[in-house]
This record gives sequence, C-alpha cells and structure tokens, in this order.
Amino acid sequence: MSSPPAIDRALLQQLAELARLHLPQDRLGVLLPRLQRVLAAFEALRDLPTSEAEPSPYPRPLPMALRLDAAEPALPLEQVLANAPRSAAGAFVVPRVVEG
Amino acid sequence: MTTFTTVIGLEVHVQLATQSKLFSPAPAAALGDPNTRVHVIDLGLPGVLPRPNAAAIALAVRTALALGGDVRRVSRFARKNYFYPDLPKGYQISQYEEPVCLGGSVPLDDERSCRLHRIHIEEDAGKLTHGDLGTLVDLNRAGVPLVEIVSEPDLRNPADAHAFLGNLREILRFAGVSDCDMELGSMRCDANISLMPAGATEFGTKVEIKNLNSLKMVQRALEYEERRQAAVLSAGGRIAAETRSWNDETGESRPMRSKESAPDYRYFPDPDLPPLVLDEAFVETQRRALGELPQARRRRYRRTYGLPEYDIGVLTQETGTGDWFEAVVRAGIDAKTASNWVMSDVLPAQRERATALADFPVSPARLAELLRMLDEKALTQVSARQVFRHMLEHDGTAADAMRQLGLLRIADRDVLGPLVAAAIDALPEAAAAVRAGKDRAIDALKGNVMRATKGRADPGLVDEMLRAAIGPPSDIA
Amino acid sequence: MNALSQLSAAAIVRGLRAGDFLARDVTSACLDRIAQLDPTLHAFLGCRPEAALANAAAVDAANRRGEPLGALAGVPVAWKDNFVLAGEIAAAGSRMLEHYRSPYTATVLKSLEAAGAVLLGRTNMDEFGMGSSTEASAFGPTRNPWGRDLTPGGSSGGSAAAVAAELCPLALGSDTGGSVRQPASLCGITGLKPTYGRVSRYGLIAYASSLDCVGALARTAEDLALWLDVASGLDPADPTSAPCHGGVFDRLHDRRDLRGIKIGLPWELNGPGLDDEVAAATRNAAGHLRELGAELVECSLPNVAHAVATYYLIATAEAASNLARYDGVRYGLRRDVAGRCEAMITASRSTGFGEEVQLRILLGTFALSYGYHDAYYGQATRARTLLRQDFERTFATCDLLLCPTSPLAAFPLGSRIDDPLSMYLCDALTVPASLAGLPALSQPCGFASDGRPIGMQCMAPAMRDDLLLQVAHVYQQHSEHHLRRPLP
Repeated sequence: MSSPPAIDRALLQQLAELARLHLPQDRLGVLLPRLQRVLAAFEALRDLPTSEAEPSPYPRPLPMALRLDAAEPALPLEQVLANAPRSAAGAFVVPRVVEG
Repeated sequence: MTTFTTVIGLEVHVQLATQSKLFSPAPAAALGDPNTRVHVIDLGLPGVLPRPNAAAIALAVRTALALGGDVRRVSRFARKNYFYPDLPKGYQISQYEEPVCLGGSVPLDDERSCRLHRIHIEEDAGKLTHGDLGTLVDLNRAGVPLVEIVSEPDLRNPADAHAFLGNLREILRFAGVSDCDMELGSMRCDANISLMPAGATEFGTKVEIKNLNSLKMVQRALEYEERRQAAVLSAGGRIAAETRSWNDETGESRPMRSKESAPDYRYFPDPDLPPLVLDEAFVETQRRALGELPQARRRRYRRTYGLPEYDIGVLTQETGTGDWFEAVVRAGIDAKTASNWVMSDVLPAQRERATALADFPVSPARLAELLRMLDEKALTQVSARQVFRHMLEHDGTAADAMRQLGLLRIADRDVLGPLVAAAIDALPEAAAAVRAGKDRAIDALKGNVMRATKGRADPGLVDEMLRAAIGPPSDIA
Repeated sequence: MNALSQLSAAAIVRGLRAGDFLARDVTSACLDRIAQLDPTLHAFLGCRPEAALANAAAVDAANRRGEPLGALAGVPVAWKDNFVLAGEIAAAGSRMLEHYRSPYTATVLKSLEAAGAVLLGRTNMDEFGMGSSTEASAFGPTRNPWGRDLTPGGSSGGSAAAVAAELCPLALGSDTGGSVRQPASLCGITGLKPTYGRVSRYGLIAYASSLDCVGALARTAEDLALWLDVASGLDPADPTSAPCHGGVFDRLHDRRDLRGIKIGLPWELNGPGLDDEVAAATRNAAGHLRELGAELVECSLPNVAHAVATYYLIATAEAASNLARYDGVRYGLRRDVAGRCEAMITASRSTGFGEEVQLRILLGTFALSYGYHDAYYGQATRARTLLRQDFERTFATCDLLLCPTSPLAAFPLGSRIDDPLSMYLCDALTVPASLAGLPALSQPCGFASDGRPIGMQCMAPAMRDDLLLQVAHVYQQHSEHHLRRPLP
C-alpha cells in the first residue's frame, strides 16, 4: 500500500541547492520527515483522473490588458539604492561573480 | 580523411524598438549612468506586478509576420527560474510552451532559405561589471523587450550563417522592429554547431558559441569551430557538449562551461500574466504596417519592370524609395526613366535636404508630369534638370516652372510660321545659299528664329518649316 | 472612555457628517486603546500616531470647510504587514524585510487614503502569509483577544485581533487560502475575500499570485461593503485585475429578508472532520437563514476532497518563484560570506527566511522540478479545473454555498506549529473558494461552550460579492453573534 516517499535526502539536498537554501544535516533531519508526511497526504491527488481537464494556472479566465508604450521618468537613483545592502558608483555591489 | 557535414543553428536576440520596457514604463534606452533607467518593477521590489507593453507585443507580431511565421492567436508568458545577480526577480519572464510565433524562415539567397523553429518574447537581464570591489549590478537593461528568434539546424556552412544574419537584419530594420546593431547589442547571436560524417543522418554533439558581436565574427567563429571539430573527430576524438566563448583578437574560442548537466529552470505559466490573446484586427494592423518586404519587392521589380540589378538594389533599400518610384511609374512613366530620375536626381536632392521622401518638395505626380513633357520633347534633358531644380525650390507644377523659367518649348506652327517668314525676309542671301545647295547656310536662319523665341522654338520643327518655305535646292547652279 | 473606538466604520462616517465628534478623537481613542491593549495582544508591528492624527486633523478641517467627505473619511484602518506604503516599513512578517522601506504605495492603500481613511499602522502576520496561526511571524505571535493562550488564526491574525479587540474598526488583510476568513472566524469578526481580480494586488507582497486576494476584516458586513466600494476596480498596474460594478454599499439595504435565495450546503464541507460544536453552530445558523426566507439544499463538490493538496502544490510552486527575488542584492537581509556571490545569496536566504517559509519553498521547488513537474504542479492545475467545474455546476442551481469557515475554533498557541500537515488540513474549508477565485465571507454564527467564537462561511459566484454582503447584512440585522466582544 505505502509507496516509497516521493522525496529523499539526496533529492531534498538538490532542491535546497536549486532554491538557494542552506540545509545543514540537523535541519534536513527535521524538514525531510515533515515534507514526506505532507507529500504522502497529497498522494491521492496523483490518482485523480485529470486527462480530460485543461490546466488552470489562473483562478478564472481574465483578459490581459496591455499598456500603451509611453516612457515615464525613472525612479530617482537614491531611491533605487535606498534599500541596497551595498552599493557603489550608482550600482549594487555583490561579491565577485565568476562568469559561467 | 573523412569529410564532414556541418550543421549550424542560430539563436538570435533582437531588442524591440519601443519607448518603454516590456513590463514597466521605465525608458527602454539602456544608455546612461547605472540604474538611472529603472522603475520599481524593474527592481523586482516586493509587491510589484508586470505591466505588459502593447508596442512590444505589436513589434513581436510584426517580426513574426515579416519572417512568415505562424502568429499564435493565444500565447502565454512563463517564468524561467534561476538565480543570478543580474536577474532582479529570480526569474525571467519569457515564453516557453506557447510562444507568440511558430515556424517562419529567413532567406539565404534568392533560392534558399533557413526555416525558423519559433519566435518568442522575453525580457532582458541587467548588466554586471567586475571590479576590485566585487561585481557591480546595473539594471538599466533589465526588462528591455526582446524577441528570441530560434532557427532550425538548417544551415550547412558559416557563410550561410552570415547570410542568414545579414538578411534577418535587413528584414527587421525594414519592418521597423529594431535597429539590429550587433555592436551595441540590439541584436545578439548565439550559434550552435556540430559536425557529422558526410551522408550521416544523425547530428553530432553540438557546441554553443557565445560572445559574437558582428556578422563577420559569427562567420569567423564558426569557421574556426568547424576546423577544430573536424580535427578532433578526424583524430578519433570526441566533441564535448559545452559552451565556448569567442575571442576575436586571438581568433580562437575557449570553453566557458559544460552543458552535460542542463540547469532545471522550472518553467511554469506566469500567474501574474493572463494568456496573451491577439485578435485578428491587431494582427492585421501589424501586417499593414509591415508592407512588402525587400526580398519580395526585388523579385517583383525584376519580373514586372525588368530593371538592372543595380537599380533594384537602390530602389528597394528603403520602403519609401520604392514606394516613391512606383508612384512615378503608376503615373505613366517608363520604369527605367523613372528609376534613372529617382537614383540620380531625387535621392541626391533628398540626401542634401535630409528629409524623408514623404516630405520631398516634388511629388511623384509632378515629376511624372515633367518626364511626360520630356518624353514629348517639349524640353531638353538639360532644361528638364533645370526645371526639376526650380520645382525643388518653388511649389508648383512642371509647366509652372517652365513658364517661370521661360522654358516652355514652342512647337506651334501658327506661332513659328510668321517668325520663319521674317527670318527669310531678313536674311535673303542665306535663303538663296540654301536654295543653291549650301546646306549649312540654314543655320543662320535657324539662329534668327531661335533668337526671336529666346531658344524656346523646337529646333526640328523650325528646320522643317524653313526648308519647306525656301523650297528644294535648285539644279541650275 | 473607549466608546469612539467601538464604533463601526459606517457609524464613524455618519457621526462625522452629523458633526457628532471629530475624526481626531476617533483616531486618538484607537491609539489609546492600542497603547493599552497591544502590549499583550501584539496585533501591531508598527504604528504611526503622528501621521494618523495628522490625517484625521485634515479630515476634520475639510469637514469644517464643508467639503464633501470620502467614503471612509476619518475611519482608522490598520493594514497587514504585506502591503507597501511609501516611506514605511513593509516586512511581510519576515526577518528578510525587517528594515525594508518601500518607495511606492500599494494601490489599495492609495484608494483608502483617497477615501479619507486614517492609516494607523501595520499588523502582524505569518511570514509572507504562510501560516494559519500568526506563529510563523518572525516578530512573535499575536494573541487572540478571546483568550491569551489562543491563536487568532492567520495569516492575517494581527488584523483580526486588532479589529476584534476594538483597536480599529477596519483592517486590511490578504487571503491566499483563507488568511482573512479563518482569523475572522477565530476572532469572532467578519472577513471578506473578494472575487479574485476585484481588488488590485499591486503593492501586496506576493505569496501565491494566482490565489492572493486583498481582503478586509471588520465587525460588520456593512463596513466591508463600504470598504469594497472604495478598494475595488480595474487597476492598470495589476494585469489580473478586473472591471466590476460599484454601488455595493448603496444596494446593501435593498434586501430585508432572504426570500428567493437558494443556499447550497456542500455535504463534503459540512460533515466529515468538523469539531462537533462548529458543526452544530453552522447547522443552527443555516436554520436561522431558512427562517429568514432562504431555501436550503444539499449539494456536492466531488473534487473538493483534493483541494488541500491542489492548493498547497500550486501555492508553494508560485511562492518558490515569487520569493526568489529575496537574494540580498538590491534590498532585504544580506549575509556576506567569504567567497562567491552565490554563497552570499544562499546565506542571506537561509538566514532571512523562517522555517515554514523554507519548507514551503522546498515543497514548491519540488512541485516544479524536472521529473516531478507534471505529476505535482501540472496535476494540481488540472485538478483545479475540475474543482472550478464543480462550482460552476453547483452555482447553476444555488445562489450561495454555506459551510463552516474553520473545522475548529481557535486552538492553543503552540499546539500545531510543529506539525505543518495538521495546520494545512485546517484550511480544507477555505481553499476551495481560493482555487476558484470566488468571493467568500466569514462571519460569527455562534460560540463554543467555553466561549470561543465560531464562524460560518458563505461563497458566491464570481463577482457576486454584493449578494454575499447583502445576505450577511440581513443575517446580522437578525442575529447578535457579531455584537459580542471579547474585551471590556
């Protein structure tokens, strides 16, 4: 009856890397069983026959209104940088990025 | 020595010529000091939502129509999720499973073309500069509207890749979609290339080449990569699936990163943006705005007018030129005459004035009128040019100009008859000499008539009328 | 003397127009009560007394000059910490945004300001809206005015507690899967989640974009009608906002009873898994609605059984993407660690996000990841279609649907926080309307034997928010549950 858990240690570690979250072993030990329990409870959804149904990424059909192409003044630089943890020469500064 | 077949596919990013960004009202011109062209939307601040730009959608549709693609009436924006400091929201809004256009093609020459896989709309990322402090992030470019044009792997040599890009650029400039400046980055190209043994049907391992900033660079980089891969394969080696960066100074490419483990972008429909539904009227408006493409126009000029290739080239360089030329022809002027005048008189005058042809002081109809008079020999080539110059400066018809210039040619027998008689009366010796068979003596008589008409008398007619009045040379002499 | 802080929004507007009191006095009364009670309740994360009093004084001045007053003139309003107001902190209950000040204002706050509302301060919430108890706030939980050891619900727990304790008559909330309705129910007040798209989301810090709705909490349905007319309308800044009809407040009093209204009771939401007292209170309220003229019918939403799974897969997938912008580059918490930019981003996110947020980001990343995308996110979006079709079928014969708001009344703080699944299952009754984008309203319908309030939920077809409010108003004209207050 019980299928293997959808998510294991290795996969969780991989997801954490994708999501840019650091998961030390102790945190992983807490989060893994919680996620497994949640996903186990969601297993029944996978058996729901849905082949006839179109996906609904939105709650209800809405038309998308388009904006007319007119440029507005930009946000003043001091406001652009007001919340920046680090900035210099009008730019945000981050630790050196290695290309590629 | 094995011979190989080269397989090339291109991915071209083209910046759409809009005033504002794809999803924000910040100016789309990515010039200026760092972070001075950004809106809260471009910063990806908490709570912001995208505001799609109608002009960007319109230009993407026009791109699709110009390249003969199938404009999808329903398409969708999707999020491409990845982390990079130049990507403010942690995802790029692009199109994935449902792009705005499927198919299409780019001509390589008059016979061959390269099929397109798809065209989709997406936003640009910011710019990183690496310095001593660390890496500087400038978001001026973030959110600038792009279309990505993805070719099928139909190209078989680097020269075709060059032709593809050259023709694509011509078409998109013509369509008013983009200025397609590779050096300034408004057109960017990544090339995929693989080699397979001649006659094989399965493509080899492909390598992606980046950092290609001109048409020539694309061709050189592909030629280099073609040689490199052939050498590796001939030596029994294997090609690594990787991305390489071209260095035009050294004339070599270097590996940037391996492509063995494809990143997981976790695409899904952007829940902030309902489906993009294009009605027929919207697409039709873009089709009308597009007009006839250079390739099609050249074919038509060849077929319909039989013009020399040089003329066709000049006349189809810009939409306005061809339109102007055709208006002259429609007014009843022979195509070659019209072409000569457009090339040697209209275009130089337009350049001198730096105006659009639409604002040119002489209309095609008025030039046609002038050319009809020329054709009827109502004036000479030389005075026709004089008239044209006059028309550039003064509003009016060719006839007005000729009247003002005193150039209206007199070819009316009733007007010329008394003048011819008066000349013979005034110069009886000359008339006698002509009668005596001295043919050159007629020039003096003609000169008299021309003087009397200030040069406006039709010389052929005057000649004919003088001879008729004097009578045939006598045999008596 | 707290009488002024006990007034409803509608009563404040009427009183100001009649010259019975000053807006300044109403705001002062609310600020006094906040000073008195909030140290215990912890409903507010930040108050702006000077600005609020200045707003109120401006309303009084305009009133003295005889200028027409806005629809919410002089009404003190609190807003959930996930709405941005220019120059103010907007932290969304997160350490990540603890010091973040927005350079722009949310559309709904602009509308409130334009209508003369007095913006009091921002209220506590589960971090980024992810929780049902306010315990997932980085700044500590809010307590339920009905019992200090009880949760006020969440994620708009601060707003619910503030309104229930009469710290203000009206508060903004956001409702992604029940975050307005559930705390309204647990705190014995009335909460409205409008139709998706009816109120602009621009300036609401996103949790799950296809589910997030701007809502409000008040002590009467009448106040919510007043609010809805001010807040709703097409906003060019929100591509998912929709045009709608105003005049909801003006038409609120059109109906004196419920004759001609057919109310469906979906058996899946009215039977299994409910606390006995909750089930009984809802049954009694349904009986009361019948006495008022409504026709009650049994109905079924077969796919509602999958709603919690559907909701959590879609919501967390969208959240994983929406929260990717918090990378320490442009704003928010930053942890520089030796080495590369990537390490900085990981360290900042791991420090800035709390446990529940990280859990949901991981769940959502899983639902979208290669190899699982179609079976989880894809399957959930298809199940959502089936649920929408269930609602369409049901609304073909019913005007409204009725069920409890929460399967249980306010639960003790600390009792569920370590068991996310049990917390998620508490949302079973509210997530269906969220998935279908339908308007839904929770209002008090009874009390447990120990005095904890119980709420019932009505759902209506899209854009029938007006009907929802009319029916709630009729019920409140003929019942007193909504008048009982927890604190002196």
